[in-house]
Amino acid sequence: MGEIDGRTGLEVLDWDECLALLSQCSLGRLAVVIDDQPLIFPVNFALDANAVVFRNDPGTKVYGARNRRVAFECDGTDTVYHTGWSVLATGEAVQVRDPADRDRLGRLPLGPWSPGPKAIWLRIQPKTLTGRRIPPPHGQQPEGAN
Amino acid sequence: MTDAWLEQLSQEACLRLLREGAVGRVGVVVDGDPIILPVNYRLVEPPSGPLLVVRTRPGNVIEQAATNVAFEIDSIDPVNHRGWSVLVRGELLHAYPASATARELYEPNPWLTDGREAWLFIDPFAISGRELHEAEPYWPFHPGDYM
Repeated sequence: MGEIDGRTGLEVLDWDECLALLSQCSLGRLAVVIDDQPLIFPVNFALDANAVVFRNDPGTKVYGARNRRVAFECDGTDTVYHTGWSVLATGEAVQVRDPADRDRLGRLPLGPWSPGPKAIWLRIQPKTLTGRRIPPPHGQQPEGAN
Repeated sequence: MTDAWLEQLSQEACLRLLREGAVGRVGVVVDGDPIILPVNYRLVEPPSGPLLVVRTRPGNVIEQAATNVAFEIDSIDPVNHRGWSVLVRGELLHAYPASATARELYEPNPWLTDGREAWLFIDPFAISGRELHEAEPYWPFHPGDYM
């Protein structure tokens, strides 16, 4: 288990653990800022090495994300046991234009879920990758810990 | 065969989903860049209009954020590619409910309570939602052909 942040009471997850959690997800949330207003959109994504890749049609998401600094978040919460984790990646969303790159990314499990050709591929190479987890209650061991 | 399609949700449908939820994500702008954080929240509906209530640590990143914020909840099935999401755009208000009655009424019940003494309200100016419907399979033979 990672270190507990004394101020927040949350376990701090390191880069590798964040990446491992991201690799188990297929849905995340993208935040962009347009005219000082943040917006959050759910997006399905895949990992290419340690970069987040997703596809889109032209629209608000692409306008707000392309060549700008964005945030990308994944989480898992358990509403019964009141526990959970979250991972946040921040960095610039860059459009993938190189045909060889596109061919390679085309083999990722990244079919569109919603209608539209989704021909614009964006990639976020994380500048920061941070994660937090709500630790199990004091004295209670997580499953499999012993 | 019907392709996957998106439906715009009504205000009432969005509010119903917000009413039922307990965990959402706040999007804030810090030094010009967006950040997303999961939070426990509660929708309260005084006569003046709906508000989202969040309790956090005084001085944390949400508390220091710019006024305009986003708030999102969703439930999406990654296997069947269906689900919904609701996006709230609003202004962040800092207010401590003065009376114990108000606090009880507005209590967002954070899972972590230690030091979560800063009460924040998101006052929405826009609420929108979408539902993703999955593609329906094409039946090459009409079941009636077998009757």
